[in-house]
Amino acid sequence: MARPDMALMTNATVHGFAVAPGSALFTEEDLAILGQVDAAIRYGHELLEWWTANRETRVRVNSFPIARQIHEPDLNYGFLLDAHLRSGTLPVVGVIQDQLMRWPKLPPDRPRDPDWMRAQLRAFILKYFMRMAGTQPAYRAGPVGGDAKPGSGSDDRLGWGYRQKFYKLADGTVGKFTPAQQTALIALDEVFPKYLWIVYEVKIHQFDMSFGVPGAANGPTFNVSMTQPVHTVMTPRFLVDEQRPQPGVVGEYGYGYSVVPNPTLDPIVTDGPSAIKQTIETLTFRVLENGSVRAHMNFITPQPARIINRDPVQLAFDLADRLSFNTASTLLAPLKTFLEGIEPHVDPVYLSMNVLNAMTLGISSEEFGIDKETLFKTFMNLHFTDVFKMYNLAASHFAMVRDWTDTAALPAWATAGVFTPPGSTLS
Amino acid sequence: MTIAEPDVEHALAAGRDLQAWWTDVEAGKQSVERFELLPAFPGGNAVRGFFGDARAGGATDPYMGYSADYFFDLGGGATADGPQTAAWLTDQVEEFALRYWLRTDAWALPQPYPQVDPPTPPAWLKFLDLNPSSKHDLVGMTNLLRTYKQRANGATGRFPDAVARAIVDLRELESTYEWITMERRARGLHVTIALPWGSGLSLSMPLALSEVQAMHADLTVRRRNPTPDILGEFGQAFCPVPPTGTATQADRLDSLQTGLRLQTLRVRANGEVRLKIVTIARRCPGAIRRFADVSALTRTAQALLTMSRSAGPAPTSEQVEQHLLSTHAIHLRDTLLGTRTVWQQVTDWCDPAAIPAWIVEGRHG
Repeated sequence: MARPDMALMTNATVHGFAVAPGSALFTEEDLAILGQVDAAIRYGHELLEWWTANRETRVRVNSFPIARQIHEPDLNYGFLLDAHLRSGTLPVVGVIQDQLMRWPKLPPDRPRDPDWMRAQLRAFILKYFMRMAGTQPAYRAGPVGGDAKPGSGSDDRLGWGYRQKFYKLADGTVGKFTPAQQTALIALDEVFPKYLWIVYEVKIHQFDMSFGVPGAANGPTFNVSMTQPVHTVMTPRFLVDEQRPQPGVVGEYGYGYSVVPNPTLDPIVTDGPSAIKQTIETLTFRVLENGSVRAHMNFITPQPARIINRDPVQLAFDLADRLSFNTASTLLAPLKTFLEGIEPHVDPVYLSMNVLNAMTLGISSEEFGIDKETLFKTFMNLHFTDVFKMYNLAASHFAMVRDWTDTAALPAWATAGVFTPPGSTLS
Repeated sequence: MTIAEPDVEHALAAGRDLQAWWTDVEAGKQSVERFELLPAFPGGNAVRGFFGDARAGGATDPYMGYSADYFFDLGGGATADGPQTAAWLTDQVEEFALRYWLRTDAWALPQPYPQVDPPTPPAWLKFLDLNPSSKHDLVGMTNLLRTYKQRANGATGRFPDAVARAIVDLRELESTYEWITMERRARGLHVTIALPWGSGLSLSMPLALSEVQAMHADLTVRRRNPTPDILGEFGQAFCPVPPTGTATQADRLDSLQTGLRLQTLRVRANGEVRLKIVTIARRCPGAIRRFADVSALTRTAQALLTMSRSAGPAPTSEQVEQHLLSTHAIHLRDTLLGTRTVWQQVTDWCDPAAIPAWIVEGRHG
C-alpha cells in the first residue's frame, strides 16, 4: 500500500523504463522499489549459483541445528559462511528446513498412487498456494490496549500474505498490477515466458522477537514486532516445475525469489524484512514414491553489518527531549555535536556486546550467549518458526480439498485467495 | 505437588455439572451471552466465546469460555476411496485419540535446540539471564501422569515417574481406574499488553505453567455413529483440579485452573476428521481488573510522554477476558492442530508395530 506522502504519478512522467500498457499508476515509493530490482536479480542469481554449488558440500560441513524436531525425517539446520561470489566475498547466514506436508490416511490394502498426488501437488502449489498463504483472516489475539479490538488486530494474521505488485513484460516494458489484480495471483506455470519477472509484496505475519527480564526465566517478556511488507522478485530461474527430477521423487514444484529492499522505509532493525538485500529464499514441495508430500525451504541472507538502524546519540537525545519537553537538544547541543562527531556509525547492539564482553572478560558471551553468532542463530530460529507455521497452515489448506485438479469443485477462498468470514461481526 | 483425593472428587463432580450444563447450553436449554471471539477461516467456523452463570460443585458462579471446531484431516486418496476409508479411519481415530493423543502433545511444535539456546549461566549469575525461556523446556503442552484411584478396590496411588509420560489408554478408565490425574504443562501461554507509541512493542506476562487435570470414564467421549453424518467421536473432558486454596483466590488468574476442558476428534462420513474444543473456566474479576489497570497505566504514560490529550480508552474487563480467552484458544489450537503432524506420520495406528517407540513411551528426547 502506498504511503500517504507518496503521491500517484502519471505514467508519462516516469523515466528510466517504458511503461506497459494498462499499468496502474506508479507512486514515488514504487519507483524507488523498482530502482532496486535489477540489482536484486543480479544478487539473487549470484547467490542461487553459489547455493547450488555449495549446498551439499561447504554448507553441510558448516551446519548447526536450529530447532529440535521429533518428526523424523523432518530436518532443519543453519549455517554461517563466507560466500565467495563473483562480486566479492559475502559473509552469509542461512537456514534450511524440510518437513512433512501431507500423507493421506489410507487402509493398508489400498494402493497409493503417487502420480495422482503429484497432479494434486502441482495444481495446488503452482496455481493456489501463493494466493492462499494469506487467506487466513486475523486470528491471533491482539495485545490488550492495542489499537485493534482483542482478537481482531489487523496485523494479527497467520501465514504470509502475497500480492503481485510489478512486472516486466517480454517486450521490456514495466507495469504495476491494479489493486484488483494484485490478489488474483497469476498461476506460476503461466508467468513465464510472458513476463521476465514479477515483484511480489510479501507480508510475513507474526514475526516477533522476545526479550526476557533478567533473573526471571519464566517471567514477562518484551516483544518487538518485525512484521513488515517485504518485496521480492521472481525470475524463471527461481521457478521449480519438474516431473521425476531425481530417483525417489515423483515431482517437485515451487518458487523462489530475491529480496528487493524498499529504500523509502526506515526500519529500526537494519535486517528487518523490508531492509534486507542480497537475500534469496526458495520454497519447494515434492512428492515421494510412497505418496507423501514434503515441504522444503532455503533462506540465505548476509550477516548484518549492524542491527539497529539508528544513531545511538540521536536516540538518547530523542528520549531526553521527550522527558524534558524538547529542551535537552537545545541546552545540550554542544555535547550532542561532540558525541555525534566521535561515534557517527556505531551499532548500539554490537557495541554493547563488545563492551560487555570486554568488561566481563568474555563471560557475557560464554555464559550468556551474548554475541553475534547467537544473535544470528536467534534470527534464523525466528525465520524457521515462521516458515514452519506457514507450512503447517498450507498443509491444512492442501488437505481440505480432495481434488485440486477439479477446478469447478474448488471452494471460493481457494480460487479467490480471499476468505470472507460468513456473518462475521469483526471488521 | 500434592493432589488430595477430595479435591479430585470435587473437581470431577463440578466437571460433571459443567458438562451437563454445557450440553444444555448447546441444546438451547440454558442461555449464555455469546460473542465472536475469533472469526471464521477456511476449515473452521468462528470461535464463539461466552459468559454465563452455571451451578457446579454446589455453587453458582460466573463462567466464561469458548467452543471451537477445526478441520483436522481428510482421509483417503481419490474420491472413490471415500466410504471405505472413512470406516477404516474411524478405528484409526479412536486408537489415536484415546491411546496416543495425550502422549504426543509435547511434540506438536518444534523444540528449542540446546545448541541454539544461549548457554545456562552459573547459579550466581542467573539473576542476569535475559533468556525468556528455561532451557530444555518443551514448547506446547507436556502431559505427565500423577495419581490414580483403582476401580477394583478404591486404592489410590501415584504413578511412577518412569511411566509418567506414557498416559494410560483412556479406555482403561472404564475398567481399571476410577479416575486418574494428569499434570498438563503449557508453555507459551501468556497475556500481552501493547506498549505506548504504537511502536509494535508489547509486554507479555506468562499464565500458569501447569495445571492438574482429572479424568473419569463419565467424561470420556467414545461414540460410534452418534448422528447419521458422524461415524465416530473420541476424546476426553478434563476437570482442572484447582491448587489448594484457589476457592479463596478468585482474584487470581490462577482461577483459570477451574471448570472443564473438552477435546475430541470426530470422523465424518466423507472421511473428514474434525477437532472440537470446549473450554469453560470461572471468571476472575479481581485479577482481570488489575490487568486492565496495568493497560490503562501504559496508556496514561503514553499520553504524558507524547503530550497528547488521549491515548485512547482503557480496555474494559470484558475485553481483557476476551483477550485472555482468545490467547488460550489460539495456544490450544496451535498445539492440538500441531499433533496432526504426528497423526500423519504413522500409517496405521491400530498396528502396534507401526508406532514409533517415542510415541508409545511418550518419550521426550
